[in-house]
Amino acid sequence: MNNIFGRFLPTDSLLGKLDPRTKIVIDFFFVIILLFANSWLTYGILIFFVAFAIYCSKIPIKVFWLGLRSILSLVILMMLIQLLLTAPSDQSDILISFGWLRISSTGLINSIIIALRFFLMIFMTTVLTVTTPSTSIADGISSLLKPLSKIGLDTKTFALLISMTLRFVPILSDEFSTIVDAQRSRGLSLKTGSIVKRTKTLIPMIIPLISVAFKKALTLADTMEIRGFIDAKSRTSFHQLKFQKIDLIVLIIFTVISFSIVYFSYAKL
Amino acid sequence: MAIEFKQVNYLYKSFLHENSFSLNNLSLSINSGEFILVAGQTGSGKTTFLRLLDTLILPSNGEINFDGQIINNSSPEKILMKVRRNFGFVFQFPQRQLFSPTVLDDVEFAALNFGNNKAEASKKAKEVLKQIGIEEDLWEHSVFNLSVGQMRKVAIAGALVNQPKYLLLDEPTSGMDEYAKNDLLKILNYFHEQGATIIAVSHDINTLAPLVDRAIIFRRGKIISDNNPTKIFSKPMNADIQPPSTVSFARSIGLKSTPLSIDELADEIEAINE
Repeated sequence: MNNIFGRFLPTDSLLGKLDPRTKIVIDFFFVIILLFANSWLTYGILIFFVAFAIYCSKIPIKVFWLGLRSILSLVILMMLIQLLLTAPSDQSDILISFGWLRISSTGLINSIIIALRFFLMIFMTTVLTVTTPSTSIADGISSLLKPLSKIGLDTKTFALLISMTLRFVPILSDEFSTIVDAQRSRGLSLKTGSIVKRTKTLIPMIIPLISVAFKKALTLADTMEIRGFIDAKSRTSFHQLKFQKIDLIVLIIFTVISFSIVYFSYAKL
Repeated sequence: MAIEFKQVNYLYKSFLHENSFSLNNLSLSINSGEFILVAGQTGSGKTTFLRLLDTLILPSNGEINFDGQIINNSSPEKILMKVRRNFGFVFQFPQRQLFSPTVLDDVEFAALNFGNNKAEASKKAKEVLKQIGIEEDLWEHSVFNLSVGQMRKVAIAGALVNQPKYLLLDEPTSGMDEYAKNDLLKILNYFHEQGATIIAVSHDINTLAPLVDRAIIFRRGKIISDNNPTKIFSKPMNADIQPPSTVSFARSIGLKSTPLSIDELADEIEAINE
């Protein structure tokens, strides 16, 4: 149970009590606001906001680190691309020069910014998923998308798809661990050999995972059909969403932070 | 003595709470050629025990001695591979580990990984497929076109291809009908007679208790009973494990003995009638 993505961890935190719609809206706009940030001050505000959200979630920081660790290699790769491929603006911008390889301070700053954006985005989405059950996320998305159903979009199915995706990530992750163990017991080594050999080790793990995923999906489709999901009439939810005063306060705080980010980023230019 | 656990702990990491013991201060020895049943309630540490045996996980503390090779939490992958070579592990639902284009390729997989060349691996794979009872005309078939029973057999063949000294089985009979169970038991008996040490984790006491030399019962990461099954099931049982139904039946009709199989029970009843 090392993969935290999509797992709900029940606590009695303030964030756990918030309306899922509040958290979804904040998460959505946080990603947009993140793109506005362009100075250390604006990033500082966002880092403080995320740190405060983590503190309020009452989830240990190591849990967030686990979420991050799984994509760390991707972030490092993106940092390297930025670092190596960003052309220096002028001669004084060059930090290290080695043959054709030139590392500039602009490239270094860009790579740090890329990593920072990724980390903040992952932390915020993890805050949402660890403090909100997948059914509540689906209910929240369904409720937020409701207005679109008036123009003919099947919002309920869309919300269900998202809920199932979130629900299936930890299930398939556990299944994957078992498959990895099974192949390791048959002599597959993930830690020895060349890069090519190690890449090839993915095949005995991915193919059974796809096979298991298809079987689970087919079983799920059958059980849903048996229980009359297809062509069912519009249904009510057992869990009613409640937008409370605390949701309003949190949204106001987030709105103030969002405007301050926009202000500090552009208004002074 | 072939394998010895010395004060082995295994801690499971928890996201929200203190890390919990899956195995707590475990010390035991496993002798060559034993057929062992490992039983206990779900979450008692049985599967962790098997994974430690196959070095898929390492002890948090303590050490395991595999025929003189000590394994602890800092053992390198090369040493682990050397130890793992002696093991065959049949997971619960082993058919889920199949991936190769053909049956033969899939069975060869472990043989190739453990240092055999293609010709040796192919020879070993063909031998084990014959022993397991997979017909020759299926060897070039796709593994995904087989029945579940056949897939299981192929997966078991894949675990046995290196003629392992130790065979580990996690719930080997789960989801099997009586015919499939009998087939599996024949295979296990065959490899046991060839000298393999078999360690099976199972809730299916009725099927496995008559076959094994020793039963180990786990509760919350600790061993609460370790003896031959007749001795274990002759005592009144607690909630951790139900005795075989033959023992329950014998008790219900006032017999003092502990028949582990239908044959033993029939003999007991016959003896009374005589």
